[in-house]
Amino acid sequence: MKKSASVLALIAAVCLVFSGCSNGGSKQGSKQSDPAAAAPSGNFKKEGFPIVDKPITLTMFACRSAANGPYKDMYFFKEYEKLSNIKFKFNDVPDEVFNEKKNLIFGKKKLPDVFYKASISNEQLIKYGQSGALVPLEGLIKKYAPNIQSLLDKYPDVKKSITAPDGHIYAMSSIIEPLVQRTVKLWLNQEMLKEVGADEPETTEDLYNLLKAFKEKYPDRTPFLTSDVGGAISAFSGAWGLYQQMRYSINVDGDKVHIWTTDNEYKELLMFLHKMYKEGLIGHKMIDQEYAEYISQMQSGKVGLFTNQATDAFPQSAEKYEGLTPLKGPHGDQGFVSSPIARDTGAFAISSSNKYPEASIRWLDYLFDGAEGSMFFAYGKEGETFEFDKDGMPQFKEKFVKSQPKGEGSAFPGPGGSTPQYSTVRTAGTVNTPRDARASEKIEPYVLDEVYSDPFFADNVSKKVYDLRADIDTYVNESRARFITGDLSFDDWDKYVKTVKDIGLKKLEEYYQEAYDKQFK
Amino acid sequence: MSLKVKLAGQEAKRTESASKSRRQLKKRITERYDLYIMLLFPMIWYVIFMYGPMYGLQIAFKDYLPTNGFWGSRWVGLEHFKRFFFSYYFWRLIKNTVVIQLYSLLFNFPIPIFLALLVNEIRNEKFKKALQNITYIPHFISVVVIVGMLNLFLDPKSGIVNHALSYLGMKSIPFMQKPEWFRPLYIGSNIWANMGWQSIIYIAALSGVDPQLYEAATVDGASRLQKVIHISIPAIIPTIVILLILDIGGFMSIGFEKILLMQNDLTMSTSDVISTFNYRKGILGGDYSYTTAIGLFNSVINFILLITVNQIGKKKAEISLW
Amino acid sequence: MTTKQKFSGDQLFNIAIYIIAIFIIAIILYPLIFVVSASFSDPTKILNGEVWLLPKGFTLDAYRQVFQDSRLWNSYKNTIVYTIIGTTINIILTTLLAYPLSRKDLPGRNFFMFVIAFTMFFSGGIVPTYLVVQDLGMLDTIWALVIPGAISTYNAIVMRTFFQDSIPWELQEAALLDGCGNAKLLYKIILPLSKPILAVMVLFYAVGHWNSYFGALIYLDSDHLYPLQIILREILIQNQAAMHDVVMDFEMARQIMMAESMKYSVIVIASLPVIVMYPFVQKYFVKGVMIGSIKG
Repeated sequence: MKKSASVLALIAAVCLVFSGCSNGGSKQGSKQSDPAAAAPSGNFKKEGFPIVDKPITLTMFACRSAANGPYKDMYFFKEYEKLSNIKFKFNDVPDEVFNEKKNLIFGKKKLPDVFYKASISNEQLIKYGQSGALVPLEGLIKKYAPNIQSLLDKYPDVKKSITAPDGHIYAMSSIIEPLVQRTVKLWLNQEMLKEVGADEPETTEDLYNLLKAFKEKYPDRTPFLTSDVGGAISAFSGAWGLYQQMRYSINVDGDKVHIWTTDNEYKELLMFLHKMYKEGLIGHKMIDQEYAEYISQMQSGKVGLFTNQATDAFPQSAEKYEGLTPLKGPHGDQGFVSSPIARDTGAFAISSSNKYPEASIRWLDYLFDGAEGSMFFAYGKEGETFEFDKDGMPQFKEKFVKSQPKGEGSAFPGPGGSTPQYSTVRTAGTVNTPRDARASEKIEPYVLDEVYSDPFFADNVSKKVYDLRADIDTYVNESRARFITGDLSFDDWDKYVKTVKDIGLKKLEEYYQEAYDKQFK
Repeated sequence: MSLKVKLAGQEAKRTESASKSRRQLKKRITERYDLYIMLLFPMIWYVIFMYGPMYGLQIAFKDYLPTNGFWGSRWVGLEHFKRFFFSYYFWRLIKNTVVIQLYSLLFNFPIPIFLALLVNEIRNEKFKKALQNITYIPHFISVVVIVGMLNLFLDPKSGIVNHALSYLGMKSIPFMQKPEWFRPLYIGSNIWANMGWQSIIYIAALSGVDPQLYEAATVDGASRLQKVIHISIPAIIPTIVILLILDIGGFMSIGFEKILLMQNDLTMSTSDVISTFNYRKGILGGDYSYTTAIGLFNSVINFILLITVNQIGKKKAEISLW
Repeated sequence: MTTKQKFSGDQLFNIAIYIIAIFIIAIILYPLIFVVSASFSDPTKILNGEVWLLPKGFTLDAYRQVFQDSRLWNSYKNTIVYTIIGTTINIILTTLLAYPLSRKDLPGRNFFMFVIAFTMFFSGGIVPTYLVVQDLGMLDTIWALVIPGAISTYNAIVMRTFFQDSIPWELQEAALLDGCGNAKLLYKIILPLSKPILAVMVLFYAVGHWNSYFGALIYLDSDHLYPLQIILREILIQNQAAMHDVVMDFEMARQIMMAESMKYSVIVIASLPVIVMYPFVQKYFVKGVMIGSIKG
């Protein structure tokens, strides 16, 4: 194969030549400096509007979700520019290629001034923060962003969730205050409940009996349906005292981190679900159903019990349903799973190329005021784009929505999620109808006080965590589905536990404990 | 004559013939200068767009950080490969990938050939055109819709297949949730979608066969089946072999989007392949270097397979890429 | 073998062929009809399994939604332009590559084959390729869509095989001995004889351009340059594989339901032109098209 060897040598030579010519990316200034320490430019105003006397233009790199139209056409940005004097030059990228483009953007010498709706992972935040590409925000926030600062003071779990182990905040997250937006509720069909003459179930045993009654009276209907297996687990895990922390199956008791996917309580939860599945009380489609299918089931009004965040997905059948109070489990636990208030991390960041970091943080701060600013972000201007209805809820004006090619998503960056925003009960709007609010109130006493978002893992640790998670999660998820359907018998439970431990559960737990100690304790 | 002289004489002959063949070679090259000019343009393209970016492969051995660039990123050697090889699921992923691809070669490869031969044998022009045009359309149906249709048609309650089964007195089967059905469904739907499109190349090849060969065979008393076996098939053997070689060269590259859409927790034991597993890992922590390393691993295996099959083709059938 | 036996053997063969052909047509046709019907049906009814052959809950919404997007017609135009320009470049470069390599008498042939085959396996990746495109100043222009993908090595190899095995060497040798230059040989003799393979290549490349979207996603920023597939994907919320990770902030439910029937109408809208294209290409597959030319 002498010929091939010379071919390969030729290839190597060519590559060497070309890599020299190509901009293979260059080292950024690895100095880390706190922009708050520098004096702001004379143009900048510390309070009030406009934010800068003379208009400035900043570059923004943002993700465009499927629900959104182009950023340059958005009503929100156009209006806010009039108010703030800050104009943006957009590089908004569809989410399909967003990650690739993010890689490319970070490779450039001049970075975009602002990263928006960017879902920058914790791992990337540490890397880019420490390399100096992203500037620390905590100083800026303290000096120029009173709204954000007061929220961070009010919600220590949010502050801890977004602060990296080196003490810096490299990106702002969303702050979703209303519980109604952080819980996936159980909706019980009141009509069917009345028809079978039962009371609202209080324990898991009650629920089992109720679903059986549903099945007997309505053999063609699905007694209980959820979007997928994970949904079924989260709907009831609280009844066995199992919660979600750091976005994983973790309980934190007195600063001790514990992953509960091999515990006896978890086994009981699975057995409970299996019993229901076997007797046809859970829709079998749960395993592989498409979301659209699930929505159509919710809207049919024929399902006895199902899970969803809010009634906005099933307006046609909403009046038949009421939220369920969290059930009491066999050991007396009565808890419920909820999402962290810092729901979308890595949503907003400022780069080292930005010459107006103070103006940028003020630009964001107004949207976190919990009043006019937050309402402006979610709904725009009263009278112009929305109005308050008789319940005091904001509703978009139909004429406005129709004028937009994609509806709200063409006018506001919010739809599609992952935006840096402060959501309050008032701005929650369509996901906080009176029915939703009632359901949320029933749940409130049973959720955890502080729910943490993903932790920051040290650079060399995060890869090990992903490797373990990929293996363990695949095994755990596959097994739980098979336990529930009966493909796997509970006689094999000990084998399951041993396998999970062999793959490395203990090590994973240690990594999480380490991260927790550094960040959340 | 002494051995030394003999050897010297042979040596002289060799160098003489060597320089003679070098002269001949030069002559052959310059004679065909215009062919080389033709090659020039495509070759420039290969150098710029294919070989130029190849330096990017090095990050399979590095810890790529865009702010450091390709050259500035830290060297980690075989770390990414080790992470992959020592994964708990490594063997299952390899097994699933290999088994699916072997079955694909076994079933998916021959069917377009049969279809092309079938089309070729149809005398009625209108029917022939209809057959071609209809079978070629499914190729354009997006993978999302194909999987959506599978879900609909195979639904245990409302799907047409299970309705037929219960009509025949059999129990309904939740096909999409059974690991043993995954491969047949995946490969079957691939065949359905692509047989028409993939038969086009064979149909084109068959159209180049000299009709006189068929006429001569008729005179010799050959039946239609015999004509197919002895004329049509041999005529397209070069095409078949080359496409087979190319297919084998793509062995490890499996259609990721379709599997991702089709798989669910219950079928993982047969449906989880290298690309879907690493996609999930990528969601946990996007790792450009790791993905490149896996891609490189797949490519190396594909390449080795290609070279092997190419050599076999060369020796056995004198058909090869090089 | 008596004549009688031979004929009934052939008759059996004929019947078998038509039976198989009809079976194939049936199993392919049914889902195709389903797709068209679904594109005119109410999404809820589709999901409930109520749609079997004919549309249920007839509605034109799925089509209306697509055509409502003002960018649709522009993107249709763009795709046609990209396809024509792109395919032309494809055919020229691929032929210039495939023909010389089909000549067994070309020194270094195997070397070149190895060089191009190697690229089917090893590629630098999206980022370095993007950087090359960027350095050449092709970003956000039509050139980024037609140059980086100008040659498909797979197609080139297939084309080479055709040149090598379907065009007799004696023919070429004779012309060369007559004093015909290689370029003239290619142009005047080879190409006219290669109508089937050229037709196939036009089809392969044109369809490739028609269906492409990733290049546009990565290299284009300006809306007015977007090709059809991008617009359709945006209308449709593609990336449905990752659907379950979506946060259900209002709006999404309605769009997901709408997407359910739109995914069928999108197929019809996007594929119709290409499906119509095939019959035109087909006439080059007529048997003996090459032999006739040789005789002439």
